[in-house]
Amino acid sequence: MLIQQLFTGLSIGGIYALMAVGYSLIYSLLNFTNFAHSIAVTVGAYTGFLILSKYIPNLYIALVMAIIIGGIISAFIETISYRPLLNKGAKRIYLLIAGLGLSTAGENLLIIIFGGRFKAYPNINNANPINILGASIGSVDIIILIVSVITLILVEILIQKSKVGLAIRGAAFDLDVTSLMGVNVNRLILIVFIIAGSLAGLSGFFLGMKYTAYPALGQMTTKAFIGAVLGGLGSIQGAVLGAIILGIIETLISAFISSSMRDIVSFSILILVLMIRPNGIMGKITEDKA
Amino acid sequence: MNSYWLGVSTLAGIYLIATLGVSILTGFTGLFSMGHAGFMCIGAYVSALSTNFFGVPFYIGLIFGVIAAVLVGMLVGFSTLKLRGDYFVITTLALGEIVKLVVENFANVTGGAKGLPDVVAGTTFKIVLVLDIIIIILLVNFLKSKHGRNCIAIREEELAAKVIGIDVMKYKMIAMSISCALTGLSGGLLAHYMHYLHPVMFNMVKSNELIVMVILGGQGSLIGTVVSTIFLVFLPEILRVGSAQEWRMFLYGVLVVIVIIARPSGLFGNREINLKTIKNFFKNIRLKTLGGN
Amino acid sequence: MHDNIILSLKELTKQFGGIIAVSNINLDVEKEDIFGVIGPNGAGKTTIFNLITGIYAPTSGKIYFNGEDITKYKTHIISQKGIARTFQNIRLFNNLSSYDNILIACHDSAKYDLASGFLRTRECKKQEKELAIEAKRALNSVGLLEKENIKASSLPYGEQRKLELARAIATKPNLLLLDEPAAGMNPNETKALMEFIKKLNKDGYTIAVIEHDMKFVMNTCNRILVLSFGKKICEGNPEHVKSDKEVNEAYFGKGILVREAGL
Repeated sequence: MLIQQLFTGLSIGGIYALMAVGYSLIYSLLNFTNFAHSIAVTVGAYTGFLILSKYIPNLYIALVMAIIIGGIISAFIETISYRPLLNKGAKRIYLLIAGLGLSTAGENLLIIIFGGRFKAYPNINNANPINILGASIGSVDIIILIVSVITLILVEILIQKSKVGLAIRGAAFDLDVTSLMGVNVNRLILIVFIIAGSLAGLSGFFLGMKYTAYPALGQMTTKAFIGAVLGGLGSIQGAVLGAIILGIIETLISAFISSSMRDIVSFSILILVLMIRPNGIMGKITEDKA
Repeated sequence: MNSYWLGVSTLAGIYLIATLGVSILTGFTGLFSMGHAGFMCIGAYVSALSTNFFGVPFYIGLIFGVIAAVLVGMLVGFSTLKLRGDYFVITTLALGEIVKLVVENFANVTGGAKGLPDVVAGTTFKIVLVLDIIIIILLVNFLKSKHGRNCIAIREEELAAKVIGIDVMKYKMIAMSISCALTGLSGGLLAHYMHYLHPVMFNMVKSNELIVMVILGGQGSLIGTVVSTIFLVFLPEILRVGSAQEWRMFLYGVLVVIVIIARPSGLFGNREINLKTIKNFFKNIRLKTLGGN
Repeated sequence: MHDNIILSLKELTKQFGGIIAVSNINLDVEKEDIFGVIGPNGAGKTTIFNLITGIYAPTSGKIYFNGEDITKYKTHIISQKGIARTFQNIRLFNNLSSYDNILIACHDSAKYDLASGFLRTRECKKQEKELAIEAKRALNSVGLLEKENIKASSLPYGEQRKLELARAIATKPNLLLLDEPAAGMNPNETKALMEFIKKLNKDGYTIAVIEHDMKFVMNTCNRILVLSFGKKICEGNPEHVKSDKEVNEAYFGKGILVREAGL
């Protein structure tokens, strides 16, 4: 039973980690919480639902579409609202407010288009549960686990080894200096948003697959934020670590205590982190320049 | 006034107290809270439970509600406002959710997701109106005083505020306490007006609405908050036909984005209507019509 | 410690991760000095100001103000102790009027509490009236009184600098830290600024100024500190610094300081 819950926890943790990485990339670069992140998640879920139920009943095509659409939505959001604000040198609170407006508009637009009811993915995957270490793990969780791990590894490689990744790391340290060194910062920001949106779309697809698609699904990004705080705001590896730990703890609480305590525990973790070690597990301390 | 519109006006007056609270926090001090409906919830349930189970009079219940909201707010503020980064925003977001969860999970006390019925009555239009007027006067005084100005300085340029000797943490806590007190009071008044409480009354949508009302009315403007709150509470009542909540909220979301990009100071932005500005307004008209430049 | 020393830095060091911004700085500023801090970009000049005003915490070392150890004090306390500063990239309250910018800086002269503010008591009104007089006087001293209602961000650049300076003075400091006050000014404005600073000094203010304009520094300051890559490479009066070999090399090549100072 414990093994089973651990796997489920890892699967949830993987989903949270995908959301948290995207959030953390944007946060490291631009130092604000992108509340519109939730839109890409929900859109990913609905994309998966639409493709699977109305167009092509192929899991992997739907998955790829969710990633692509998530990236596009995120790029669109960056271009029409964050870019003009950033170019004006707007204060951080304006970015937060814009994110709030976008997530409100986006969520309600989805209700208008799709209605408020839960949309379950059609069951096109008839694989049997696999037996690992004596526990019976559903095929959905297996897929989520494998794809999440591969994706997270790819992202890590991208950040550590590629030119784009170098630019991102440089810009996260100092945006102005990076721009002075010839990096097109606007394009870099757009790329980061596309990556974040794609990851969000993927996580939304998994959430839709595991549960259902519904307009308020994106609010799960709150868990991603908590995971990022636990792991350390500003640290991308921290975000992954914190999100996975959060997913595992949540699942264990839900299984062995009660599911209604699950969210209370998650939020309590946030409070604990703030009181004991606000920088989180891997957090960095930064100081403003004057 | 017929009793339907009296009801809407009372509701507007109740929400106005909450939005004035959010205005002080966000519009004047520049702090962004994503879960302020959570403080309304605390004020509402504490007040309702005090009156229903302990039999205290309604205004004592309100005071208990305010105290509870302020205490929780100060706890949140104390832990997060001293940290650099988005900790305050994320924590207030989480708080909005936690409060709802607590209400839903302690159902034997709070009625949980089924709601809390038969809350003692007590809120009337007259009471709300008087409270609105008193609160506005107190807030106008506050903003004219050095304490209010210090909060505004923090919004404008926090580092400069520190460097000229303002204890930024203290004033952020003051702004947070004022906003939680007002939001808690609003929640309490709502409870004793609706005679009924349900956690869905204080969900994410409500938190977002509070912020929307302040932003559209204009940061740094009390009169802006008053106008936008009244307008946005009356609007769905006036447009009864086809005014599903989703279309309204979609529109508000879009408006907020447009406003924050094009005219961040909103409708009244940083301007108040008072005797001086009214005089100036007429003076300018006279100058223009007499061909002055 | 000498009675005459207003600010003392002892082995002051600041490290950001792997980067050492300033290293083992020792400095004594005497009362009524006009003290210049010069050095190439990135030398650590602003970092020192940030350390003194508590914006950064030092990695090691100590800071003494009028004999008191202020190393660990918070920024607003340091301000209340009597140190004021202006910023390299001007930090005014942009949406507020010039008048409000100064009025806010006078806040410490009024002592009424929060409740009195809410109720607008007689005491509150009286102190507010006194604040208003103080603020107008401060605005007037830099010649900005007619612009009192203009939004700070709408002022021309030179006047924004004046306003920031007036705001710093309004906090009634003993020590003024000015970070590139002449940046972006034309020669006339720079000359007026030099005169203004000399007058402030005569009125009793101790002033430390970071500047790149060598004419300004050599003709206004009585002592100068030269930094390069976070280390002190020279300290002394203008004559001494001008002819120092290491200083001249640190800049662009020999003799440049002499030329720059207009000799």
